[in-house]
Amino acid sequence: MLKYTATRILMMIPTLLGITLISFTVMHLAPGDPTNYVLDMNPKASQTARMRLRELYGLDKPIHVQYWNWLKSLAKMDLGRSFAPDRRLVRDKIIERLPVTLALNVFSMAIILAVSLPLGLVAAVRAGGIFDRTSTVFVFICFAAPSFWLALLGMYLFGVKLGWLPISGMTSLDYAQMSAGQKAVDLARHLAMPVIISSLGGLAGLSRYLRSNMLEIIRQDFLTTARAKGLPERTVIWKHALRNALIPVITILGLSVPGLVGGSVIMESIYAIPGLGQLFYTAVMGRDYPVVMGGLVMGAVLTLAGNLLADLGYAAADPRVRDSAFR
Amino acid sequence: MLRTTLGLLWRNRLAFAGGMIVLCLFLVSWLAPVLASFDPDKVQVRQRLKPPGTAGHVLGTDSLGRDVMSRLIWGSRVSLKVGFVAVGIATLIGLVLGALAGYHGGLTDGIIMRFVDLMLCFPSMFLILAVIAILEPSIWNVMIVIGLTGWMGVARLVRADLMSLKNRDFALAARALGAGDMRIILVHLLPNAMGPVLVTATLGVAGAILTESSLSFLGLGVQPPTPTWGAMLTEGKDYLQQAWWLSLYPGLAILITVLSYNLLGEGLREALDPHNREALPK
Repeated sequence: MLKYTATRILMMIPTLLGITLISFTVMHLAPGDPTNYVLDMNPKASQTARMRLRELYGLDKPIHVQYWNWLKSLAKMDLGRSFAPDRRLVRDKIIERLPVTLALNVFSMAIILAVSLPLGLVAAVRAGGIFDRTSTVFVFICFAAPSFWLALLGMYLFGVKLGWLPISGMTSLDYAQMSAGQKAVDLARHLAMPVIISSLGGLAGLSRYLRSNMLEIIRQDFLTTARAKGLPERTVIWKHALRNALIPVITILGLSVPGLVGGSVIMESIYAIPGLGQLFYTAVMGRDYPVVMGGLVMGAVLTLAGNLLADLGYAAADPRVRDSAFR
Repeated sequence: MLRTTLGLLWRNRLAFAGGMIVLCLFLVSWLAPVLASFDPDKVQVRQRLKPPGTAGHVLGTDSLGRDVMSRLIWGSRVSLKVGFVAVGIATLIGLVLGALAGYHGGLTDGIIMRFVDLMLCFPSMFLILAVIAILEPSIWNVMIVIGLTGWMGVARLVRADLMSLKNRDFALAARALGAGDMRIILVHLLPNAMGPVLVTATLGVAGAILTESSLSFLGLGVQPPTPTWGAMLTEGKDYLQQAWWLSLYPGLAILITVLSYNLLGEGLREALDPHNREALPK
């Protein structure tokens, strides 16, 4: 187990290097240089000030030296300082917002799992029936509806019209004075809408996948064998078929990480939730290059981590992989 | 083959409905100057925020008194254009890189596929936003960036197909007759791999339209005053309490369009699947 995990982590290193190379290239597509955006705001900035700033950010060096320096500081977890007026460390900005985005995505994923598993399974077992058809249409509509639009409708209906849920932020103003229980309820009320709405788009992928996977498995020989030896249909479906259909779901969940992380940009900026997505959006709007670059790397690292977890989960769940990997 | 495909598509009523709506959308954006009863950019301050049904404004007017229906009709042009150009770019890149990787194998394949894996690591929304922020938002940049971040699926498909096709007898025969690599790929192999690519492209149009509307909603897509569905929703957001129609209709337009392309794409996938082909009576 340990050896397999270690190998998997080592195998991520070239990918990580590639990620930094792409992020670096993207950020240097910019015409002119980043100092323009710092200095254009300030008409009094002189030519010498510009040169000093270029030197400070290392922009006077050749591009491969810049990349190498950036990599060296990245290895020390140093992502530089934000261009924003607060001039804070990019690392601190990201670290304080990461838990929020992680929590949002973990909750969304839990909802996606809890809803799409039964949806896909029942649809497959009763393929062609009324439930199959209505659930297919339902997940397709959820997939096609833009999340920001659903967010607006949700805010109008549950926030403005019915007044059930708060429409922005993560906590109420008097959050600090609440007891632990009240805090939990307050957080849940604020996060309910963003979490549910961002999970809707993910229902289609998983439930459709599970449905077709299950249909495929139902046709397989080992299920005919199970039936032939007299097992009740219930055991055949819910034990033999289900186990085989569930294993690939782990991979699909891993693959859905980039979509969820990317979607958090929209959800967090609409609902004013202080997470990584909102930080990234503000940085993009303000051309805060160090933060954008840090966010880009962080987003990819989250995806890599999701893939790693999925691989490990898969290896643990599938005996065929487990035996060869964990010896 | 075309007849069987169309026959299966016809049997799948949802996919057929999707296809019809897609056709209607083509017509609407083509006939926009005729269908739109108002100039989509004409500001009428005295007519601002009129609810649906007042003075010929079927779906009401926005905060500047512009006709919502006309803006929706003209907006269909933007989403259509973005959808097709972005997917065109993505498909072209995917075809070229996928064909190179699948046909040549070895080191070429290794390098291209590692690059595919890398690109798949980035949450595409992050990558797109970062590039748009650098290049300035405009319709062309939006289309190019969506295309540049969406080719990986096609590349993988084409590669897998070419890897098996290149060793089939007909490909070997073409080679034996002296055909060059280029000719074998373009004339003999790629046409046989186009089915799944068509499916991916159709679903890709849906994705591109959704991405464009998200970008426009965030203010980083097609810039005003060009009417786009995403940007209309941004404007609607500020009038959520007074004018619900500004937030409802553009979203419905996006939903219906994206849904239609998805249903059509899924229907095509089923129709092109050899498993289902046998089911159709001859």
